[in-house]
Amino acid sequence: MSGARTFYRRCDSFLLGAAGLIGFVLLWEAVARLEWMDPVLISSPTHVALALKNWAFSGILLRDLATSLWELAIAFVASALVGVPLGVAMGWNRPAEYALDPFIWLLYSTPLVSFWPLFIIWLGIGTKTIIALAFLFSVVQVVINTMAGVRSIDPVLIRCARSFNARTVDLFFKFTLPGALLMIIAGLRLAVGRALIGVVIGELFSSNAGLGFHISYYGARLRFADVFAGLFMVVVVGICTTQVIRLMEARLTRWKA
Amino acid sequence: MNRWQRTWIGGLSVIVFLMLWELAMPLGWIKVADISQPSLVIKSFLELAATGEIFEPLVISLKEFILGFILAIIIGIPLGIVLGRYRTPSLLLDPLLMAFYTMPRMAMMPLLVVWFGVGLGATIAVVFLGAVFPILINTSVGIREIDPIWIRAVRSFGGKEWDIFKKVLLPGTVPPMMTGIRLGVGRGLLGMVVSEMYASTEGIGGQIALYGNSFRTTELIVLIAVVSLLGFIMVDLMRRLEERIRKGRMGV
Repeated sequence: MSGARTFYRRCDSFLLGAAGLIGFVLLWEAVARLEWMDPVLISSPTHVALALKNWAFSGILLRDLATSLWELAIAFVASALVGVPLGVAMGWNRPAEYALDPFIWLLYSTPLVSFWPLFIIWLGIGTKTIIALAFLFSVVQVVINTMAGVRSIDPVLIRCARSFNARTVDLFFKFTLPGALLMIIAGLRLAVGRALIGVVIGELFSSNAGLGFHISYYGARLRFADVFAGLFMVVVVGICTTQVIRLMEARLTRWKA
Repeated sequence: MNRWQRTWIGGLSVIVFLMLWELAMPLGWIKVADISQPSLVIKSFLELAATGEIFEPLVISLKEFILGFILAIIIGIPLGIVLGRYRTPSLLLDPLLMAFYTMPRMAMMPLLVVWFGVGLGATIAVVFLGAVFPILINTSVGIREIDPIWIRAVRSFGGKEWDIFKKVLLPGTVPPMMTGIRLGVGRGLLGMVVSEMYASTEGIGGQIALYGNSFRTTELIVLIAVVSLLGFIMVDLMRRLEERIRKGRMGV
């Protein structure tokens, strides 16, 4: 008895979490089976699983996944390549921060999706436009976090290094960059989530492949099992990409512990 | 001195940006795309404002936004407090909430349109879904970070659960709650625009889609600027409120 209790104590977060998920699925299934709500509108877990299976076996899942991941990867890498240097410049140099600050904050608080039609006019419908939207979604986050990271370094450390005659280059590579690394990676982790939002919204609006396309295509045909299957895949992609960056984070920041 | 420097450098860079933008098209620096000009944008803003093509949709949009946002606060804060205070329900719901939190809720648009109807219903729903999670999660994290000594203190003076709630939990969670509300405003606005662009011709998002489809760059930029400004003002307002509350707390 007490053995079971300590076992429960130790694993309660896992057990209860699993119970919550299973309970949710069962409840959903029951509501659909007993027709408390219209099964056409809410679908059911078994139908969603079936739709997922068909999607996977038809080979289209792979195509959609590849398209979305490709767009996500380009947008994310581009936002890291642009965002980190920009953020470092803004954190390093006060006038640079003051000059760029208005634009960054405006972009940060704008519902960025409103740029979508403008991108279509400039770039045409297609992958490029989706990548541009995802880039815009994620780059602001990278810039803000990188800047905060560079700013967060203890000025005493910098003064100490200076008093030992550190050159600016040394100061930059041995103090600023390692010191800011934690915040930069946290920013990248948030950015990949935002880039995913951008990719999905872009595909939702206009595309011919990808997870967002799958969702909007079947949504328009009221086949909600397929829509839920699409949403499920989006969650999977979101969790996986975030997890990859978390692993990187753990590895790169091991020296801090 | 420092503050003054921020203002003039920032202002200068905005002015330089506007001037470059003004000159880019006439001088032929950008040939492939129509990027319009600030002067045209201002002129077109005045025209659109005069015909009511900006403020009427804006009122519709704001109404939807406010309804969805109030709903998010009404549900998000109590639920966040419960999940922060009691271990069992929070563990039970944790994976589900995380799944929802990682999912781009805007992707649910096709479902929401059918469930709640094009226009008002779907927009309120997506604003709610966008805003409720940051509010809920920040509130519950705030509750969890409250020092348990205070709760014990209330208990040892014979306080009931209600006293703990009123005297410790509620005041203690206000700063993180405000952070959640600020993040929620951004998410909610995004949801509002996505919904209106996706499925309705109403509201400011609908106007954006309309002018986008007819390739009228100048009007489009006017509308984007209006939405941007709206977002900027709202987020800034929230940030100021947040800072004020935080400072007031420091003083105590």
